[in-house]
Amino acid sequence: MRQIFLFVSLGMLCFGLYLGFFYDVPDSQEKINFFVSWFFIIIGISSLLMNLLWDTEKKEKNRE
Amino acid sequence: MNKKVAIIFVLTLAALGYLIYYSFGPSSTTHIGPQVNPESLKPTKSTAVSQNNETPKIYHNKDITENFYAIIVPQSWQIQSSASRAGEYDFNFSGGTAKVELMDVPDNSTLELFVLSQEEPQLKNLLTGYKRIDYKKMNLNGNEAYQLSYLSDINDTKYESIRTYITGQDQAAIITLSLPQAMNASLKNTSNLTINSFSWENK
Repeated sequence: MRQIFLFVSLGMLCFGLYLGFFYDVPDSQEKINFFVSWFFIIIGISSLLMNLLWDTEKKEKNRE
Repeated sequence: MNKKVAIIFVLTLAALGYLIYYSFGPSSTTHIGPQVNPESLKPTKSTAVSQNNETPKIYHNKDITENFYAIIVPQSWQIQSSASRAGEYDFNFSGGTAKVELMDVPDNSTLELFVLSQEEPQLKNLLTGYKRIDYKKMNLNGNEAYQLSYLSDINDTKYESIRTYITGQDQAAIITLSLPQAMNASLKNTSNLTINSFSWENK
């Protein structure tokens, strides 16, 4: 389950980076592209961080 | 849920909120998309080449990236800077008006198709007494161009307009000249010189 979540988060982050920096945006669509790409980047980074931190918390508890 | 995860969750929500405000809020038009360089609205220099006893002015427009262009207009043409948008010039001269603007052509269309299927029907709807005089394909300083000439009635005066669409790397340029039908031949000649002076400067 955790791997699937990580994979999806990473996918969102990569897709956001692609949209933001490599995708040839059609004229007059810059605004929506800006929003969608940064939306994916933010969600991707935060879900990655949340997943990793949640995991470390569990490990610490187990050690205790 | 642990503390760190909760903090990240809250930060994410804040970041998304800020993103929505930045993208669609009241100030969004000023920082996303093409921006006007105020310097480019001013004529940068004038040439010493004389035509019809007057010194023409060269306008170098650098408002929109990938769509820089230059156009030469007669000295007597008055620029209406207050009415201009990015990449646009409006001119007034004795008896007529001229406008240079940039237009976004959809990627799934060609300029010629766009002119005939979108622009001309729109002109027919907007202008009273619209009547096409001529339509031709031409080459303007190495760029493919399409010229639409038509008559229309403005305040009970018959006007002849020449609308030239010039293909560009990104957007297309449009030069519109409107003159009373009863204009003299020299004025028409000057207008043609202006159209022929247009060149892209994407370097």
